[in-house]
Amino acid sequence: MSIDATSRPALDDDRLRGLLRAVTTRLMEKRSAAIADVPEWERLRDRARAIKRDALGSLGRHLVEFEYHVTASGGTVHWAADAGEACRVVEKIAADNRVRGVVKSKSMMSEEIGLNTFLEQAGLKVVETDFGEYIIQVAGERPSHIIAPAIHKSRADVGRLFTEKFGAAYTEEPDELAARARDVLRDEFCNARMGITGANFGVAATGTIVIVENEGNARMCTTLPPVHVALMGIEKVVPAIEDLAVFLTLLARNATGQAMTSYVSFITGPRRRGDRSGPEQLHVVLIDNGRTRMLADPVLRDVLACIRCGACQNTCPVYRNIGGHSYGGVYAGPIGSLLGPGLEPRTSPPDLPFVSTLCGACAEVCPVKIDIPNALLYLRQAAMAGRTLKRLPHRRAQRLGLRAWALTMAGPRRYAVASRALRLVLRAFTRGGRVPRLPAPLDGWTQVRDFPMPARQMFRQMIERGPNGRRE
Amino acid sequence: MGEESSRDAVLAGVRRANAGRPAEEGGRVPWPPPPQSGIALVDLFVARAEAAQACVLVVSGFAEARQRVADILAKAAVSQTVVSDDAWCSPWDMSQLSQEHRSRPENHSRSGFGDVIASATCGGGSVTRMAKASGAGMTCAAYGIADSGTIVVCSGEAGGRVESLLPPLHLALLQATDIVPGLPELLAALHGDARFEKSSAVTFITGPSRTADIELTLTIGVHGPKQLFVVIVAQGGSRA
Repeated sequence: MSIDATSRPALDDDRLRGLLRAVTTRLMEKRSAAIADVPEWERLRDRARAIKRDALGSLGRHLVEFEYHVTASGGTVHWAADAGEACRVVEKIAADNRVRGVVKSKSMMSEEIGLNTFLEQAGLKVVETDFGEYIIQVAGERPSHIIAPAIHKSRADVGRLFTEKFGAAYTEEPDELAARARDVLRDEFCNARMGITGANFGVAATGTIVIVENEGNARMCTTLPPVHVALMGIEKVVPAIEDLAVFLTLLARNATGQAMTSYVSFITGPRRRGDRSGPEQLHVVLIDNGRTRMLADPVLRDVLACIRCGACQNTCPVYRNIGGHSYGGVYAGPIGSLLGPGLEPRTSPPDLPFVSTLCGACAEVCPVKIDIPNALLYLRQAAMAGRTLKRLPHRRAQRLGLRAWALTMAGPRRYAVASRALRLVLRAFTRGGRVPRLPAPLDGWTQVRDFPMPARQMFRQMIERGPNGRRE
Repeated sequence: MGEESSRDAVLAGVRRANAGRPAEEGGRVPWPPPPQSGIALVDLFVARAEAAQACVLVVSGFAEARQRVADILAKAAVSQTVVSDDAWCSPWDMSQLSQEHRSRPENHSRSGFGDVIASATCGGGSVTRMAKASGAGMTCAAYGIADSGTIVVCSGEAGGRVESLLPPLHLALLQATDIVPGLPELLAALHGDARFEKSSAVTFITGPSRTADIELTLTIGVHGPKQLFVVIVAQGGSRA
């Protein structure tokens, strides 16, 4: 499916677009206020980028070191080359421990590998415990934002959903709705035999995984069930514990405008001898799923530096209008338009790299300075060259158009002739002083607005005739 | 594909992807010097923690800390409080909390608070059940981060995981001398700290549990505590 088609429902939904605009604007305002507190912000971004580049450049060494330290602290490391293998690893851990029910905290990786569906088909009960993810799970939908998965739901939506689902009296007060979820999920935490989380960072030198959150549900998942499974993309490794200073300074401020989230957990192995709480087993699943392929690409390897703050989504004029579901994949927004083709080149919508105005706002806010517009252009070139994407809408027309453009721009006379001809063509479509409709493939423009009328006089004519050459 | 061969395949893929690329080691941008604010660390900590909806009390000694803790528990009419071992023992010595509170004449006519239990006395496994049934949990913080108003709790034999997570009210005890300016100092301190090496879960806590998943409306106390109190014994406090 092309984004043209998938974004149609969102574009026709004024309520949704209002909601998206309100929430993303507020997130950007909070971000601006939070980073005003950090005068060295720009240098921190440079530092974060440098650390990630270094870490990715020596990724093999860091992964082996990370594995060694996780194991030394009593944990188990599993490796998965792709999504299917990652799911099977988790299912096997569950089976080995006779687990029937799983509690989960928010993890984009679990979305990426389709873990919930897989485990449910294997007969396990999977409960999302992040409030936003819980709403999404109850609604049977997919998250539409990296850090605010239920961004597309209004309080009335959630109120109705909870009333339908639980039969309780209708309320749309966020406090009361959260209290209902809390009550349901408290029991789930205490009964579940396995907790699944993602990992924001993995520290090679200590084998520590770091989980950033606000609600405390990830702490529950890593504390109460006897088995903890952490899903981690191989690109999440940083060399040393000190490196986290820069990332923890950037991440929460850029994502939600907080100096620090309510909870940041440093997990090093399962509970130690003598501890009275904590899981008996810790399993870290290191997942590739397309990452080594991205690493081998000279441009896309930089995208692996992403720390999933979601700021590029909040600032993107396209995301703010079409929302996350329109992107048709796990990751939406500018970063999603790179991660989608990078991780899933076969199933990613072919026109994803084109869903951008290239305005550059995403690169401005990126905490690790990923040059998103440049990478989008790179993917567009690849798409037009037909190397990776073949099903692009109007691809042939675009190529013809661009070829014609190159031809006319090659000399001043050609340009003059072509622009005169174009004025004549436009005149044929002029109705009552407007250009209300153009033929395909240009009709995309005129579906929602008039095409501008040509000026009465061309710039070249003005120059040729001089300042007094006007006809009036 | 077996896991063992997946390990080899992934690592081989990584090495192939990085082959021939110049090592980028040493290209680190140094951490910029922290701006000199001139504000005392304790004051900055209090301001930032309160901005994150924590309640902070600064007291001059451990005896006063116990008094204030008792007042908080009495005011909230907490039925049962579970206390990690390090808070139970010297210098905080919360084992004497109930007796001391009752012995103060002004409290004779007032209703107090319920049992105060050391997590050590709960026995294996049941500290979780105890914490779940408690109205308050008390822990010691190993460090405070002034820049964000964050406390750092290390889990270990003394406890710390569930006491700070399951009860609706969390009371953290912090010594002013353990407050560091920011994250770089904190992580440098953790590096050589035996508590960190022995801890399977070090948790940074900033304010109460929160969410904003519905229309970005702030909701306090989703899964973790609804209230966070931080009691700081200021520098030079007597060990009375």
